[in-house]
Amino acid sequence: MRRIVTLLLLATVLMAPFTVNAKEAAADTASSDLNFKEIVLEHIGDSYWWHIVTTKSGKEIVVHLPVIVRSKSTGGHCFSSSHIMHGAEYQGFSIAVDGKHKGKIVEKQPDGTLVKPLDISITKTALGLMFNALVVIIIIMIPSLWYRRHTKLEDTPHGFAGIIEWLIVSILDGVIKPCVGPHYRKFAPFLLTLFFFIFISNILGLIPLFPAGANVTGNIAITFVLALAAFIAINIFGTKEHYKSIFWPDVPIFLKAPLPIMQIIEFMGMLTKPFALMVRLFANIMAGHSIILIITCIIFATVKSGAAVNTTMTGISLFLMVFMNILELLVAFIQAYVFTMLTSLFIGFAQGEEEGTKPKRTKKIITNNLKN
Amino acid sequence: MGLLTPDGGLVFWMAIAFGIVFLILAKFGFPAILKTVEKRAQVIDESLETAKKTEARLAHVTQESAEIIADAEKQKLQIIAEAQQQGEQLIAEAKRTANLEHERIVAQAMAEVEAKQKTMQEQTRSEVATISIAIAEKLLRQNLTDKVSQTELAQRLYKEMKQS
Repeated sequence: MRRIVTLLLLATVLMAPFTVNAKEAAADTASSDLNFKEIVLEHIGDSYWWHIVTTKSGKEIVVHLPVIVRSKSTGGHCFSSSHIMHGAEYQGFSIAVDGKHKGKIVEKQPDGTLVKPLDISITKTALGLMFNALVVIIIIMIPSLWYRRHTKLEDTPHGFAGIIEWLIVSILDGVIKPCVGPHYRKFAPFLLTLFFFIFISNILGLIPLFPAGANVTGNIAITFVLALAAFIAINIFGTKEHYKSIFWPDVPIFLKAPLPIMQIIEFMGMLTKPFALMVRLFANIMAGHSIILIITCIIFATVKSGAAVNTTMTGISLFLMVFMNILELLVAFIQAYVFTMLTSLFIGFAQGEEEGTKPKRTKKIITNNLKN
Repeated sequence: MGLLTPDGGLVFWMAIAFGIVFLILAKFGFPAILKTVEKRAQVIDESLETAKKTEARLAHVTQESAEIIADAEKQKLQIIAEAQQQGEQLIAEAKRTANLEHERIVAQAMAEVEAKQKTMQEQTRSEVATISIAIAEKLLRQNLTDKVSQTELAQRLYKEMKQS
């Protein structure tokens, strides 16, 4: 495990300057002034192609991704994003330069207005997402298949299957069992999928090599779906007591009778729980990526200040980059862990038990986890 | 700002990708692992329980064997004591019987001796009587005059009788 982490780390540190270097070169050819805000936003945002590297001669190595749009007036379209690069227009579609849909594909109507079509293009994040999904499936299926082959209980998994089993068991025993309560078995596959999807995506997001390195979990659409899944899992399996505590809570009657104050508060709470999950994961990962990129940009920002300053700043930047990457590895795990733990807790609350035991149990779980 | 609004296309792809991952893993991935892990945990729990029970039983058995040994020791001592007592009793009995026998034999011997003595005395007495009668007969037959010759005769006769 340590060796793998070290390798990942090494790759991250070694590759980070190259990726940005490429972008810098690209920006250099376009305009002599570097726009660091654009560089950072380009990375953490989404795009219709996957820019890998720009060679010294200015030749760009780009993976063109399919654009899939459906327009109200002209129907469905599917074409390579190479047609619309550098502001080009193809079949009436182009990327909006500014306005409400900046950076998105818009269709030019006959009257000259730009309308956003239904857009399900496989963007950079979507491709990264699919790659991550594949990696997650492979990572879980390897030990799973191992278990199918070894039905004897005396066999214990070693190597990779052993690591994954250890991770699964530690999440199961440390988070899912204590947080969800007696009915944990029903939710275990979902919560484990959630954990591994977030964890693997976070880790892969730190590797700046195609096809990993897309900012997947730092994209709000991704965390939105994850939070939505958590919301569904929490509320679909909620018991009668759970809904009673929302729509007829155990409070003095004037707080709920003529004006449904408590009901509104409880209902808001129902929504804010997954909303907090969504924003927490998104903000953490996005901020991490931004900081690493900004620190990398220091090297290029100080080029004009002379060799001495540039060398010093490069050293500092490298040191900070290593530090941030290690920190991000930690954050990658912590965020996956926290997301899973909170979802488990909310599911546990919605499983309906006596009101009085809730705070006590939560406190116990939190202290237990802190101890661990 | 674009960064904070979820993009519809991405939500669509994410829902599909996450859904597929979840379906595959929930159907084929995690259950196999969880089942084995739980089974293994159960087996470990059971083994621990068995070990605990065995240990308790072993302690019990050790205690029991110690008890048995102590019991045997006690019994041994008891048996030895009993045997000793019995031996003593036997010896005492034998002594007593021997004494009785001895006394009986002695008494019998005495009685026999006494009886023999009696018969001897009777015999002697009758013999003496017979001899005396014979002597008297002879004395009477010879009609001896003097006292010396009488005594001489008596002594001679006595000698003769003695020789015969």
